[in-house]
Amino acid sequence: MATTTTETKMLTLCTSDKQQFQIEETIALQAVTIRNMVEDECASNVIPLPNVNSKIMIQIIEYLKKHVDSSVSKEDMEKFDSAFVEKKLSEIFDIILAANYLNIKNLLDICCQRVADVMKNKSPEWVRRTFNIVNDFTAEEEAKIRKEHEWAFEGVDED
Amino acid sequence: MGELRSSNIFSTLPDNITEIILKCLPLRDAARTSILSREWRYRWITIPVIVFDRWLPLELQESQKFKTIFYQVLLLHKGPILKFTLSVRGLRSCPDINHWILFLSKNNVQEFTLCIYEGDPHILPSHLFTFRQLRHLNLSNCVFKPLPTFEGFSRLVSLLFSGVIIVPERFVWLISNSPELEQFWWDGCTEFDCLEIDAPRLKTFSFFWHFQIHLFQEHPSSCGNLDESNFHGCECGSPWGRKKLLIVSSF
Repeated sequence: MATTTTETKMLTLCTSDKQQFQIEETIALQAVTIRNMVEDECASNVIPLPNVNSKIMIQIIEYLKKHVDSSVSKEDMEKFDSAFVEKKLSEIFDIILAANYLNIKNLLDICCQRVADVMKNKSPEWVRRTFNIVNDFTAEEEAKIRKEHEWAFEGVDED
Repeated sequence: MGELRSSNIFSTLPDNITEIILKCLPLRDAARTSILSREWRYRWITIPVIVFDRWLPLELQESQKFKTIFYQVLLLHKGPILKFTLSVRGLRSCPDINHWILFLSKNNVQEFTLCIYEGDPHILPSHLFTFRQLRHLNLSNCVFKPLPTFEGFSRLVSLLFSGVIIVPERFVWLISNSPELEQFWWDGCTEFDCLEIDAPRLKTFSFFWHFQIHLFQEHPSSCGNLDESNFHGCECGSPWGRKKLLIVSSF
């Protein structure tokens, strides 16, 4: 029996820790960086991704697989996205850096939104502690800035 | 949630990423980052988004005390302002609004929202009609009366008019001179007898008034643009995809 099957084109991605991932081209091409490499024909067999490790790549592939599926409703996609960003902040930052390198705009946006949501209504002291930001102001300088924008420091959550 | 590695990852992020994060924050939270460290001192003032809305405590909104903060933010700002929103409870028409619009007219604004909540509608100043990069315009309780030399907003994608006073023919002209327009919403508009609107790319429109809508099908072969048609306050059973629509007032 004759069947018309179009061969699914596959791409091989190689992460910084030398792991190889075989994925469908349509899934991979959502990453603009990969698309450009394929279009410029720099990607003959294996696409090296020296800025992404395998642990993060697995999660990015999970995201791309869901987003390539046009049968998923807008509502379900939003549910998937909000569940997807429920990760530790350190992991979110790794995904942000990878999404920035691979140029996957939506993924970058939802991860940055997650970081912003964590920062909302938090005191500067809390933000510094959580994100390891070293306060290099003197006490006087800090008091001066606080006074300049008093309105911004009212009504923050208790630490 | 002190779970980040000892490396200071937040400070090593590329600038484009910190900008996206800051854009996701309400202005008050973004302003608070000025105190984190010297590196963060002036980052928030370059975010190309100025939104004054419900993040402001109600007391500041209703007492108009927000204006002092507003002036401070505008004066500190550096770089383009692509998105501007002023939707503050209790906002009345006042000369300050025209000063702000004049200031913005030099900033390549793409999204502009102005909602007057109380009192008389605000007569929009001529500077607003020079926003050539405008893509989204959302006005509430304003008088939209451009000079005859106004050339339209050629890049406009969405238009939301609520309680906006505009000569109906001018409205038709505005829509017809916005070739990119995909969405418009018109609520509480000026009375008219009949409007003929030509908006080739329109996908959704909403009317909150008593109208009869007649659809013209000029080019049957090119149907399909208006697939998510959204007719509020009017009857329409016919699928969209038309080049023109005729709106007849039921009054």
